[in-house]
Amino acid sequence: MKKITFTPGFFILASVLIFFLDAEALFCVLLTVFVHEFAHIIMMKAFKIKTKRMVFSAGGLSIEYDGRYTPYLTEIAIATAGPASNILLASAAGYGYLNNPCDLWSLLLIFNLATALYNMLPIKGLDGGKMLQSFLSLVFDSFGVETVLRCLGYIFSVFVLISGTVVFFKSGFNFTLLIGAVWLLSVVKEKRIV
Amino acid sequence: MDSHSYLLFEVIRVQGQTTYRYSRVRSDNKSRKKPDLRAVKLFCAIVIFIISAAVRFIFPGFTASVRDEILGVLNDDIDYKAAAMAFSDGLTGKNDIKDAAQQVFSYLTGNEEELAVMAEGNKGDKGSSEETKQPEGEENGTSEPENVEYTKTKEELVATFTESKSEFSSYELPANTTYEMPDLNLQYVSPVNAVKTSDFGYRMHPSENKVLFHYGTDYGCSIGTDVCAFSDGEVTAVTDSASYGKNVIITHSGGTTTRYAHCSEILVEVGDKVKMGDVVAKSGDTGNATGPCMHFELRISDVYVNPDYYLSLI
Repeated sequence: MKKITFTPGFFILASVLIFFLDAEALFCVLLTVFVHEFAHIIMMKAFKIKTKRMVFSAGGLSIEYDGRYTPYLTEIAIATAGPASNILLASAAGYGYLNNPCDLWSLLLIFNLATALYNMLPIKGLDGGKMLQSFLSLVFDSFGVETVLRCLGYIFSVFVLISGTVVFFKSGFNFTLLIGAVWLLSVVKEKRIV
Repeated sequence: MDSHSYLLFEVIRVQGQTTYRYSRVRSDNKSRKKPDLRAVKLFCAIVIFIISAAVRFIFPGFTASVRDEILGVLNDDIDYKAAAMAFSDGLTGKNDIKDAAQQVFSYLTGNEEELAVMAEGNKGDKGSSEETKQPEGEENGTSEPENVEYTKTKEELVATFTESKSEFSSYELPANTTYEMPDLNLQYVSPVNAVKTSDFGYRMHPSENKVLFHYGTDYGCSIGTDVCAFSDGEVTAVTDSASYGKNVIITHSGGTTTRYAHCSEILVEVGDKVKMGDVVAKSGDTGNATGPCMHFELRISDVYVNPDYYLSLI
């Protein structure tokens, strides 16, 4: 890892998390993020790919690598590793919850499940988008890939936005999903590697 | 000087033909040297983070109250525990994976109506309605809540109970009490084999002759009847008070506690680990009791709830 970058958005996100989450939830968030990114790094190491930069941003933590000479299937494997690790951890937490139903297990389960699902959305900048981008690159040229990704990005973002609005009014102003939707719309144009 | 000029040399190649172009471009210092806004933003963000962390650790009480106020809005309709249970049921094959996914989504979005509809659907799939209304483990006296059926029964129980308390509807519920039925993810048994004699909630107090809130349910039973642990847990208090008489408190997993009061004898000590169904005390009439009975209190996450909701499911 040659470089670590902190964006202003990361510190705002950290401020919100440290203020609003109790120790248990904070631990679950950190463990979820750590496991997700560690899985990406492990997969990069397995394919002998050098990591270029670690970026702490408002969207969380992302790891950039030099993808110029990386085969598409390898890129798909790297992108899949993060959400897959979260699903494994969520499953472990689910079994833990069955044996000992406590808050820690339920939080760990929900955070991991949410992280895996969120990252698997086929939106450029997220793991799902990266998987789809690499997969489409096997078939289409770069313009076709960009067009498909951009369209899907907007379709999914708008879908989440509508769902967020419905949840906002139906649940008595729970704005979590709405914020997620706005964030997704903002990352549709953003370029991130992993 | 505020402005300066420089030469721009361009090489333009169009359809194999190369052309060169010189031009003089004027520029001013303002456009060349933009202030580094990123550094300013980063500095402000770091200051906000330091303030946030300092407030969190220096004024934990204030932080907790603000947090509870705001997160209350977000979490009111989100049942993380029920979602976790639904997901686990899907994993272990207790429930169909598709239904489990729908339940997790519904619990996280607080869509109770959808759950009710799903409960109806499952009822039809499984066959007789008697089976779907009974929680698992009825034969051995234990109860393992199953979310789908549980939700259906829960609404009926709460509606019936609330209606029975309608004459006290003008009274505001005391702090840390509820007439709702929070999910209880425990295996449990009835602490005593007896008939209910006094309900949870507001009632005309039998000896003081005024409306008072009753924090538990009374079960009439003769002195010396076995009082059993509601669920697995640890004995966290054994006391003898004027109102409760000899009583014992057991803490179970998931922030649930139970109290067994008016006992004649306590058979456990603080720190003892007890299993569901272990005899922990003998019933009696100690404390402020009008006769031999066992006063049973159930607290879920520090909120007193109606124990009869859960015991009636057994």
